[in-house]
Amino acid sequence: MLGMAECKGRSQHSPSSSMDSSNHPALSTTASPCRPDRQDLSTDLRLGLSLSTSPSSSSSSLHEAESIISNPRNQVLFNWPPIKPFLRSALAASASRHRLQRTLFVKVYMEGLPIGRKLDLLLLVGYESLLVKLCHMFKTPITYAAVYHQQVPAVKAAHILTYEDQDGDWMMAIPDQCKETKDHKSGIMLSSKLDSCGSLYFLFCSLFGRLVEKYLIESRC
Amino acid sequence: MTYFPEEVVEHIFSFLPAQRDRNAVSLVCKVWYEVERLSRRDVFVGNCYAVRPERVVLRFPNVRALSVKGKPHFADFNLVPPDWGGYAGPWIEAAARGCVGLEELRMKRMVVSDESLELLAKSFPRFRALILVSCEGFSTDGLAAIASHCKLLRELDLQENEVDDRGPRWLSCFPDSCTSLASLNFACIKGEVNAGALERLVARSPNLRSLRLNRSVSVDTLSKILMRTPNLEDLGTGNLTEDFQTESYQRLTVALEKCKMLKSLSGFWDASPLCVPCIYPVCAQLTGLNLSYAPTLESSDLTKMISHCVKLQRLWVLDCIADKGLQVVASTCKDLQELRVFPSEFYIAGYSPVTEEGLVAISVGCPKLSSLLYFCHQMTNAALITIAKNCPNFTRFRLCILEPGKPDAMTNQPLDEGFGAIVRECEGLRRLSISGLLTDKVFMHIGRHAKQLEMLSIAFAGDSDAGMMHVMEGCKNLRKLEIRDSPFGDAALLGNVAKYETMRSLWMSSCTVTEKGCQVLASKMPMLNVEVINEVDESSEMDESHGGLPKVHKLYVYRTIAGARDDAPDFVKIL
Repeated sequence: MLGMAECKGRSQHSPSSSMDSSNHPALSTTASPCRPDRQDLSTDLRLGLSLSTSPSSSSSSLHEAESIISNPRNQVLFNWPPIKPFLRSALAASASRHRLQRTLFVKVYMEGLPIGRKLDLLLLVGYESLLVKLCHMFKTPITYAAVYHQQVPAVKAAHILTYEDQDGDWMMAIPDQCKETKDHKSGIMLSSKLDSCGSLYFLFCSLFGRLVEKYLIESRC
Repeated sequence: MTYFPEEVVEHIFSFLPAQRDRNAVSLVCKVWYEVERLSRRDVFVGNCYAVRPERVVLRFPNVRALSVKGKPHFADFNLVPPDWGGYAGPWIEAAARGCVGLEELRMKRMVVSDESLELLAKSFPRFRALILVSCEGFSTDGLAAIASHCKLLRELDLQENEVDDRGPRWLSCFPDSCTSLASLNFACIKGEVNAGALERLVARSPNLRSLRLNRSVSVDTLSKILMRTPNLEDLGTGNLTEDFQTESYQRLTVALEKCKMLKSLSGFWDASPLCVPCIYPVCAQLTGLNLSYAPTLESSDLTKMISHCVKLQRLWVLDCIADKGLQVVASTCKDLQELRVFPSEFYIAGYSPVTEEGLVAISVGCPKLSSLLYFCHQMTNAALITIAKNCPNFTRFRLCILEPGKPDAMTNQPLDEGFGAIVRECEGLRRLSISGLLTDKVFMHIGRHAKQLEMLSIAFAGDSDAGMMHVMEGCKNLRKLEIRDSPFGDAALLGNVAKYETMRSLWMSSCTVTEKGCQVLASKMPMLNVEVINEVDESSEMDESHGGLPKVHKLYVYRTIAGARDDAPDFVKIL
């Protein structure tokens, strides 16, 4: 298990069916809301690493996470809750694997060029980083709808970012759209998959439920 | 009866499979002792240090199935230091010398070396079944020896062992002539296996009924294997994490549909929600389902799957299922007998999506429930009382509230009354684990009502010695008592010393027992091994700061006819 930041007043692990961009507990920062009804300081928490107890597995790459929790009596607890090491390490490995190994590749084309570029959306954090990345990849400034408060300064040969929705229409991609479509059934599935890996709170490609295969950047001028 | 020829007596004894009964008839007279011991086929040794292996082998030279347990139960939770003991070597060596007809060996929580496995493989020409549970100390090289030399191997069952992976070679060591495999479980092997070797092995094993794969086996390999095993009853899947490979999943569905005998499903390592629809065809026939390694499946995925499982008797699941998922279980699985709900986020103190409401719903919908292991973050007395009334058939009831010492979530009272209801209503209760805020009162209830109780696990509970003494006095059938972080001291330890001879073992860690108390126990009861386990770690400094006599960090007491063991490490003192 990777070390986790000490956090007072643990953030809420929202139920898995919740639709707001839930904070994955493993990645939550102090920005996440604390459960209002929790009792105070009993939730100081640190995660330590310990070597596996068996001598033969000293070469094992999986370390058992020894959970060290402080309880209301302010004692440091070892080896609690009582779960078998096999399950403990499987869950710990799953949590770290989950964060690191999920990918969501999309192919982005620029108008006029037949060859698209592949991009792993899960490595990006935020709409801006998508734009920055695309700018670098295609060596062109990208602009989007004026409703968004931050605008790329108008440049002569700017491009806009669009994608094809399930009806085959070309839609312009703006971050405000992230807030819609929580009720769309398949949108939920994809967005909840993204939620569960937690690194992407930018729900751009989940808007219309299926894996969006390509974005076409059109020339504006 | 003594006028009957011995063959007749032996035949009569063959109707007594239970070890207890056979032990009883052995005591009648010398003739019966001899007849019984030479005809005993199954021997179960609950504590490997209670008796010397040579003695067992000498008494029962014709044993076919031997079962030995090593470390105490709390070793599962890292409470027993490494190198404490529990070595399988002496048992295998003794058996190799004294009972060459051995066919089956079961070991739990023992340290097994590759050398021992090799000796095992070469010493018993009729060897058929090796079952290792929560063991350690061996590698895939040891498994290679078993595969190579046990010509009649029917069962190789590795459950949650710590195995040093030295490569995939071991699976290829099953010779082409080996066609007898009925059960193969290598789910705990961490590394890759050779898919081709696996497929060939399955293809030449027509008797295969149980197959549990590890994470490295791909969906495609799984589908190919399943096409060859239409009689499979128990399957542990391989890797189901692939996303968006619809063809693979379609092939899997087709293959699963062929397995009309499939009753039990496990594995699901980090399973993708996309695999869930593939399982639908078999759900209606399942009696056992283990989803505890699938934190990637959310409540909605789980409930979709479970809503098809109308025949389910045994369900192991993570708490991601949430209370509302448990309600689906309650309304679907009317035959449910065993439920285990594990915490998925164990490193977060005190929060879990399951509460007392989920368990109450289960108790309403599943009155046949007899075995429970439930991790949750809150409980109430009212809920426990309701659950006890709804499910009087509990034989195993283990409740773990994640925050130690947490009171009733509604009334802030201790949970004494709730657990009291459980022991009162469930007359057949054999195993109990308690948690939450608990005073000596709960032990009063347990002592008074839990007359069939055989195993009791206590953590962070009780106020005084009286608590433990209630249990020692009242629980007539108690065999195993394990306690951690509770205020029981010498008075409790010494309150009923004769009782320890009727029990298998006592474990106490982070209690208030002193070394003097242990000395007194050891001197009063020579038939016990009193092991004081003191490691040097952070918590031992805290003990000394309490002042007074130095507290014993960990204590393990067990009855034995073998005397003090000679393989104890430095940090174990046998008084």
